Amino acid sequence: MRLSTMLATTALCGALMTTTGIAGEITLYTWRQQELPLWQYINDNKLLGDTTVKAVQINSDDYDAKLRIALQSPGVDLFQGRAGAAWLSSFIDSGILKPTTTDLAAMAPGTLDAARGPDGQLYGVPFAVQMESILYNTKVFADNGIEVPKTLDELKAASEKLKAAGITPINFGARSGWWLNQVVGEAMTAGLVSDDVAAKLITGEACFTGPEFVSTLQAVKDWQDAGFINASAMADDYGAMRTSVAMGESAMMIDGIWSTGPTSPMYEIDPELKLGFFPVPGPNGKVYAFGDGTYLVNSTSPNAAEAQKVLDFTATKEFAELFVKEVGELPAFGGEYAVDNPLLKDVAAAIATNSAAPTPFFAYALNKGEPSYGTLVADGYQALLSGQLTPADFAKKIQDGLNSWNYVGAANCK
Amino acid sequence: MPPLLFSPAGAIILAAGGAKGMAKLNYKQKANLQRIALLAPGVLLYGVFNFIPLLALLVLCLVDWPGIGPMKFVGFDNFAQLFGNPYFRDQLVKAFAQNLIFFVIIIASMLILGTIFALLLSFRTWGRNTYRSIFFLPYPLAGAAVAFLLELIVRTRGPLNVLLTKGLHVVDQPIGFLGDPNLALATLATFYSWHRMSFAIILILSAVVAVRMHLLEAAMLDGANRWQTLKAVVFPVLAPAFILITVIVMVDVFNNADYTLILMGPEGAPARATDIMGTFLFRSAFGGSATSVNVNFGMSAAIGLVTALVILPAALFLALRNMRREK
Repeated sequence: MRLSTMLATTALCGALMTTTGIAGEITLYTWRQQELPLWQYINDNKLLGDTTVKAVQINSDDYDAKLRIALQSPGVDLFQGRAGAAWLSSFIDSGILKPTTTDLAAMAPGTLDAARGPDGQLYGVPFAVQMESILYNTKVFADNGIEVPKTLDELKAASEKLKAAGITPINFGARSGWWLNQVVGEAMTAGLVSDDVAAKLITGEACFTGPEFVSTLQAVKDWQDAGFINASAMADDYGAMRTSVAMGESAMMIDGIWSTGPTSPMYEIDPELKLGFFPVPGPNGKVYAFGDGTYLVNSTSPNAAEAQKVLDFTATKEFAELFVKEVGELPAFGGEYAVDNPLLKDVAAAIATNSAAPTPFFAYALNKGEPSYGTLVADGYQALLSGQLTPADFAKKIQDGLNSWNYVGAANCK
Repeated sequence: MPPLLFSPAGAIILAAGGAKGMAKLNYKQKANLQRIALLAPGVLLYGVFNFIPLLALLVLCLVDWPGIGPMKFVGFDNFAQLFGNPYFRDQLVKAFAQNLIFFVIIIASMLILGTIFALLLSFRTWGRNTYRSIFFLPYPLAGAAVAFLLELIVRTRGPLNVLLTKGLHVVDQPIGFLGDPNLALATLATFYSWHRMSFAIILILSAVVAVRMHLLEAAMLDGANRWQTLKAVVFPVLAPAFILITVIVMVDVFNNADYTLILMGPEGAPARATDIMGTFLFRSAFGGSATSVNVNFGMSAAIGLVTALVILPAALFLALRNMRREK
């Protein structure tokens, strides 16, 4: 009864607890360790005047649970939310979030969906543009005379060559379900499914059992059958995958550009590591870009007015340039800002010119019921890689799961 | 009955009521006061930290509440969803079935290996106390520490796989102990058993030590062989310890999921192969991923209550059996 008792104790204690903050101090809850130097810099240089921001960083896996518990009592003024209406909805329903008053005109339009609630209103300021694609160890490619593949056949040929050299071509950390649905599923869709069909998948005009979507699943299965993916894919998690690529034992992985940031643990393994990126080289051949999440004001906080000033600052050019410099990622700011890092410049160019517009993982229409698209994709990939499902069965399972709660395409995709 | 004045409880009463007041009480009243004073701290602590939350659980399972904001009263809708909606029902059935397998592996290994180790430790062998200390070492470790420690051992680059692939050459590829859906649950059960084995050993060992020598001698004089002696004299004495271990482990593994949550996440990876009641309950309250929309403490409370109701009869039956034996 311990877990359930904990649940009830949490409910009781939440109502009884009170937290007092220091005057002028705003508490920000975040799962992103890479942002800590940014907020430290802002505090040290008094960029917010007398207001300081105390960043409370919580491990990503525990973030949702601890945030919900923390929000039951005063003490959270600002917090970071994951992207998309599915995640935001319960915070909106509970009155924690109100439509934002911050001027978002300068933000990149493509990132605003991260802050959009089920009602179409915007509830916060998007904080980063992330890109997902294939990341590769440039030294491993160079040592084996491999050029960046432009087609799936070239990727296959490169993988054959790497495999013959005793290097795992593509490493999968499939034990991490979040990586399968949020990274693999989306990067594969951006590479293989045309934007038109991907958009129709979200609106229910196209079905997941259709040939284009099934081809994304088939490609992964083909890589596994050909021995291009590590044999221990299901036993390895996200961390093990990045370790393998950083050590040069594997050449490629499907990952987000956040792994190339200055605080990435990959550089602790090899400080000289250089990573490159290219889209999954399928017929669509695009990278996947999205607003990573949102800064949100807890409207029930006694410090909400002061937190709002901090939120307004996150939508400025000054903050965007600090974000690039201190976090090493691209901000969600849409105007001109200085970027010195050459890799980030390439990423910015890829996002601007060659990124897929539809983002099924964050689409509220696919995730507002249970089982959500995200859950079905994570479960399905693990079943596919374990040999429990064929690509066609996997696609059918997604379709049936969505149909079970009568999603927007249920009538069209029986 | 020890003299009231010299017991800690008596001291409390004296401090509260004064010696003058105490003198007016008769023996029975003093005895009752002593009982109350002795029980009060335990009852108070249990009430505040267990009983009141348990009552709150009864209320919580009637609401729809994402853990923040106002609660919405939904009556028995959470239970209707849990048993009527195939999405929740399938998860409930799978989590319960896997929890049962998890429990069977753990209890079998704890009782069988625990008895073997306890019997070995009961012999007057050299270094017996050192062995006892070694066996007991894992028990005080935190579950999280044990989870990470054992994961380091079984991971694909870990020492166990290196031994199997490069040392013994038993297999060509590392075994995905936590990645193979057929192995993951059993691997986690092994982690649990290793961690808590000393608990079983100590209880069984204390029962073994309680076997009276004259009964063993009498059995041997009557011509019983070693197995018959174990079966007729030793095992009946061990039965209460077995039952106690079974009840405690049952309650624990059906309500906690520390190893699974830490290593496999709230979705019970891979492919839900390690999903048990604790992960199902946690996932219902806090969500499993960024796209979890149905976060509902009320549903979790309902799952907790159903789990309690399912294991309660078994736990009560075993506990009552133990009490009958003691009579």
